Amino acid sequence: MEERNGHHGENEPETGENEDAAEPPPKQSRSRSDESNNFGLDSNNMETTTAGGSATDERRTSTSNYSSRQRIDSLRKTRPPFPWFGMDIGGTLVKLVYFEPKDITAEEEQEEVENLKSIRRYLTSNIAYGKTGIRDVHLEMKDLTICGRTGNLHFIRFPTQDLPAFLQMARSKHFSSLHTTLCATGGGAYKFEFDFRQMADLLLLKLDELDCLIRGVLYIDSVVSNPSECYYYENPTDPEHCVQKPFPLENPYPLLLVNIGSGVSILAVYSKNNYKRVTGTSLGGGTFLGLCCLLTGCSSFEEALEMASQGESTHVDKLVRDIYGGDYERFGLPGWAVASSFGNMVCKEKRESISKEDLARATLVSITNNIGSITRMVALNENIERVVFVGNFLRVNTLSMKLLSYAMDYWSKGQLKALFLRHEVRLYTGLKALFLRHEVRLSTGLKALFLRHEVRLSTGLKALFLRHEVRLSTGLKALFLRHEVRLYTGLKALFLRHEVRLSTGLKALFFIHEVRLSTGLKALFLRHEVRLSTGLKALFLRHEVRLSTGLKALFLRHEVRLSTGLKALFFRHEVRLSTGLKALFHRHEVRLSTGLKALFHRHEVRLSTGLKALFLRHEVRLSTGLKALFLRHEVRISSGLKALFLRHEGYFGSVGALLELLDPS
Amino acid sequence: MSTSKMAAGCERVDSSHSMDKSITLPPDEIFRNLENAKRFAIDIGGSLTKLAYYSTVQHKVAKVRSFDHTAKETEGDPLYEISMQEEVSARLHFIKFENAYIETCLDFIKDHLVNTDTKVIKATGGGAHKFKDLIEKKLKLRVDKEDEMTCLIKGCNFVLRNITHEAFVYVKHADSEFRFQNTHPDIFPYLLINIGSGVSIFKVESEDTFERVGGSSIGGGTFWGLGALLTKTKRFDELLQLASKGQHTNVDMLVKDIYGGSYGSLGLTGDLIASSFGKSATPDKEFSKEDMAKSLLHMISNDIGQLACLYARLHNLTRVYFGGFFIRGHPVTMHTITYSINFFTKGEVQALFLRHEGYLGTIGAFLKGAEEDNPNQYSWGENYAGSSGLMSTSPDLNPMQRARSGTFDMLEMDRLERQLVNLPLLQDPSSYIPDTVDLSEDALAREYWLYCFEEALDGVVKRAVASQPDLPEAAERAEKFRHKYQHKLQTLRHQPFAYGSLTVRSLLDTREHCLNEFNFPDPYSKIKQGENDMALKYFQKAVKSLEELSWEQRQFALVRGLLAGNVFDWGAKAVSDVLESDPEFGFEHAKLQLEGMPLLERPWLVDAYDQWLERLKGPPHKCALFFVDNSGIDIILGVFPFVRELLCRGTEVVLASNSSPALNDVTNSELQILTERIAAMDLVIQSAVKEDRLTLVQSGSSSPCLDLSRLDKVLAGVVRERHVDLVIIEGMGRAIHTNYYAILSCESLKMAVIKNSWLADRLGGKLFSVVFKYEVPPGHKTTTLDHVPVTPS
Repeated sequence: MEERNGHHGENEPETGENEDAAEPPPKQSRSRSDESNNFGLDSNNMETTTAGGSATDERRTSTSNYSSRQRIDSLRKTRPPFPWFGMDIGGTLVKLVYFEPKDITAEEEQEEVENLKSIRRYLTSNIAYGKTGIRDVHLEMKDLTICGRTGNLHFIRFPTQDLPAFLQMARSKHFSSLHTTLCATGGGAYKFEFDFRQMADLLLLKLDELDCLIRGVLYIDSVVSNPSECYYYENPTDPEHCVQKPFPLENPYPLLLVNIGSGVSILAVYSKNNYKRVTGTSLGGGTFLGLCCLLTGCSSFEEALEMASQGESTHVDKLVRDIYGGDYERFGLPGWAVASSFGNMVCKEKRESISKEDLARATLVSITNNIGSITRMVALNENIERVVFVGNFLRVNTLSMKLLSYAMDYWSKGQLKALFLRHEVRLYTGLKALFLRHEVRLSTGLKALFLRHEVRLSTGLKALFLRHEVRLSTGLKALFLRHEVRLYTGLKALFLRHEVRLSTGLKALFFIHEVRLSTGLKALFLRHEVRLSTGLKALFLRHEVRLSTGLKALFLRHEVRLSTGLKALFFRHEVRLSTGLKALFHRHEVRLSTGLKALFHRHEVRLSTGLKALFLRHEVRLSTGLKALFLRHEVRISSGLKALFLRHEGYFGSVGALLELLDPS
Repeated sequence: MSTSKMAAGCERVDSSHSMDKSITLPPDEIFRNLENAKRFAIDIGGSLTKLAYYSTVQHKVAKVRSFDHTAKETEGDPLYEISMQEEVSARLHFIKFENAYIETCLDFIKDHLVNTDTKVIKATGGGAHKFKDLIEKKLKLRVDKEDEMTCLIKGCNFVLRNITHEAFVYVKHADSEFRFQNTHPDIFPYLLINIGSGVSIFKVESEDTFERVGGSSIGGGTFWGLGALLTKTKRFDELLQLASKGQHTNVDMLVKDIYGGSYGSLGLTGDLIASSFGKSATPDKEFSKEDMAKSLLHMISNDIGQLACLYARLHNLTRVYFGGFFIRGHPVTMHTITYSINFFTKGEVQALFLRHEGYLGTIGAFLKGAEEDNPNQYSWGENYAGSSGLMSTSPDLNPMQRARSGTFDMLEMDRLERQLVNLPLLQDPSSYIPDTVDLSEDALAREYWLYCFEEALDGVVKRAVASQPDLPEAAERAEKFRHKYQHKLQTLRHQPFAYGSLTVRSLLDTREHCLNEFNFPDPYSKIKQGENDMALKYFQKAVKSLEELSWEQRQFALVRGLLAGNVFDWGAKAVSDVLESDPEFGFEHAKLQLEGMPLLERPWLVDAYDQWLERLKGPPHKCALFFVDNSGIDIILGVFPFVRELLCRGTEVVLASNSSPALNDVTNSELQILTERIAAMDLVIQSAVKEDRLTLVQSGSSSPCLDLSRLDKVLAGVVRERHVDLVIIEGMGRAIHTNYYAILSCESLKMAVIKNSWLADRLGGKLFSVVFKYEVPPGHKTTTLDHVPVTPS
């Protein structure tokens, strides 16, 4: 991440061969080249040579390569011959990356067959191929070292429907004589495999689309630093101050990767090799273009985007204010929000009054918002805060990117956060029994808290079952706490399991319990107190755990007061967790008064992780007189989700395919 | 958002389609009981108007009153007197009609509205604003607007709570497209997805706690608007019709269009849509209207389904109801939404639809206005006689009914006098299904029973006329009843799903509703009276002869007596034919007839008598709850001796009988008089009544069948207080047609004589076969038994 490749930005002119002269290479590169300038022409870029490892690994070890010669030799043997291509054949576009070696030695130059030379020249000296092929010059990555070779990475695309023309060209240029392996991914790698063989005598190495996508994203992000590959829009809700800002993708996991091609795939990435496709939607770039073609008669993505940029979607869409005259305050919906995409088009007069540009804009807005909305829900469900959008739908589509940034931010504020809460209260005052079951599962990043709580009270049978369990796992530290009280006042005996057993022959019990545990740097203080007076039919239970593991601290406070004479139960429960910058406040309260036949249950968790805040509120009100149960729980985050974008939008699959060629996993 | 939002501005265009403007049904058959109407509410949507009002219905009820028996009674005096009285009950009327009729309808209401107390009409829906002036001018009522979504949810809670089989799952191509859901005792929490012009998603946690958790702008308006642009088709219904004829694969890019086949490693099949409209991304190709409409329908349904699943998962909810004009009974959209939900949740969540979805807004608005009457405090029931039923206005489903009632659809709900709750002894209230056979899924059974009820109609009409000899216009009313019920049977033949699952119970209940509708509250009152009189004369003799028997002989004789008594049933055609032709057919005859039958020889068709006898050798039950059946011989000579024996054993008895008449079933008020009379002759009964060991309660029902999930709240209280540990259910309607498979948390006896040859055949027996089912819940400790086999052969 910290290395080279920083010297080409969007505005940089095409500089040809001696680009290094144009501006000084980054500091670190230079120091490396000093160490290893005995290699070839562009030797300053040749030092990163580690056998086998991935590109990032190479970098890590590259500064001290005393035995590099040996390794280069072995690499040379395993290194596939030029040309190096990676191809991603999607439903709409074919994305091709081509590595142009710039460190070709004189010896190599002589050996190089004419075909190869002509292909290199053809690809690198043009920026357009045929009618529809285009090289995205602004994305070109210069002086990149892959697999021990330094050169430029070129990004080329053409419509999938023109694949026959491409194959024709490959045939005419005798591509197959180069004996290269063509690594291809995307659906077309499967669909057109036969055509490649038949028309161009080429054998495809088919690779999984999503594997390649993730590999490509991680690689590009790791080698690009200036301008940063990853960026976001600051102040997305304020069009005047909305600016593009770099975003350092350090420690990117877990990550939600939204790939918007013809359709949309949403992946949850937990590590380099661990990801899953959570869901997808068929409303993607293909839908935008498909609908635009039908509605406006346009013929290309660029044309559709151009129209969209000049249109006004509010003519086509029905907004909240069109219905309510303003905001729909009852449910906090702003007047400007779209109530119904294309909703105005049910009206004949309105259908006749709008322009094609308006239609294109409305199509773009509804597809984009829909993707944003599904992504936001998936982020909540998967509990992932980092969302990265890629795919060619976003190419030159600032409109959609800003819209996504805005929608993700706006709609996630005050929204419910991923929460798994299971809660059950059963109260039968006829049978005089209360079953209370409570479960909270909270997963914020790597931190997880499992809380299980159960109270069973049957005053008819004069029995109390109290079960309490807290499982807390903060990183590598884990605390398991299990607590159980069983009370049979009918039998005038109290059994406290696991830790405590006692019998109330004297009808009164005072119990104090303290555990101190010190293992290495970890210390646990446990304080536990039970006071029971069955004569007065009252139980006081106090429970406290203090845990200090390095920087982590947990305070747990637990209190039960039961007076069956007064038929009242007060229950108070508090957890405080402080892990580094993270803090969790947990408050739990049950009040039961069977005399008044009312139960108030209140539960609150506050979590503050950096800039993010989580509020959890939980409330149960039970009035058995009216036989009503109110259960409410609520988690809200106060800061919006940030939509992240990558500069090489749609090319990651083909980059991944190229990497597979050079370094099969 | 909702239907109504569609409206703003373009109402005229979209609702003034080629509708027949004439009302084919006389308006007084639609806007019924207007004389006493008060509390109006109206929900005006994009094309449909829904009107609600509260009214009182005056109808006759049969009352029985005991004579003064202090004087020495003379032979031949009837036991009690029967009188017809006028009673007033509350009814809710809901009418749905096309906006085109709104002015005609308002005029009609204005002309017939007698009550002048009403000052306000609650209004909701987008059209409420547009028609505000018209309504105020015509009705002279102030229009008071209510929030649409709040009304929607209020209405949803109301129908879920009060209407059985309100929710259903839609299964295209199945024998029965509608799979009605059992009403869960706790309707909360649930997710309500309202697909109007946009989509709103509500999480409803209690009567007053709900939240709009999300939504989407891609909804019904998108389908309509985008569809109109793409196909130049203006009407929503026409678009749906186009869609049902189209091939989406011509327009959509499928996984196989990209991969050549499936994307195996992700489990994505080749037919899956990868990109909606992906194939139309070309300037020079033409696509058919049908194909585009279909693709659009898929795109929108899938998108909504996906969002619904994401919200259901986030909020951990499995009950997801769909409503809004996009759904509103359209099989096409119900199917695509169901498909999408299945796909995205892998079957974990089912898409649920509501029978009265279109009425939710107006019901909610009405409830808002009626808060001071506290309608939620009562239980309500759908009146089958006054309600049109599901799909009544669907163009392709019921041409007959549509021709008759035009596009008017009605729903009527009666306020029940008692609040109904679950029997506390149901093992699992959420899985309890009262009915033994679902006729909507069993075509053969449906065919038979519809035929059966049609056959019996003549007899019922005759009986009805005979029950009111003093009223000359009774014959005319009876004919009206015949016409109405026949029409209901016709409707149910074509739309067995009209009122939820079709069952023998619902057929019986519909008949009772129709009889009441035409003021035949108790056609069997005279017959019951005569039979009660006759049977009472035998009571002492019967008891005496029982007491002469040995204990073991007596137990059997009691059971046999109960079964013999149960043969006397006017509800069963096989029996009523005999009773009709031979008025002398008495208890002894019945016993003889039964004894003469080889079938009466044990083992019975279902025979757990030995286990029951063993149980009787053990300690007595604490308290028995007895759901009784017919009056006359059944109750007096069958049930009472049996009850007497229980009381002698030290078991308290609670007799539960119908609150209102149904066939010749004994009603609570009749039973009170009978008990009084029997107590006068029998010391055991007398002391039990005095000491409160024999109690009479109302079941809250007026059906020949029994729904244990809708019983009088008082009964439930008594069951808890007395610690009932034995439930006895007697008769075909209560123990065979319903509750045959009901599982209780205490011991239970289900006894019946099968008086229908078809049913006997089905159960593998013959006419007059006996079912004696004694069940002990698993894990339940009794002194003598561990396991009782109870399944019928």
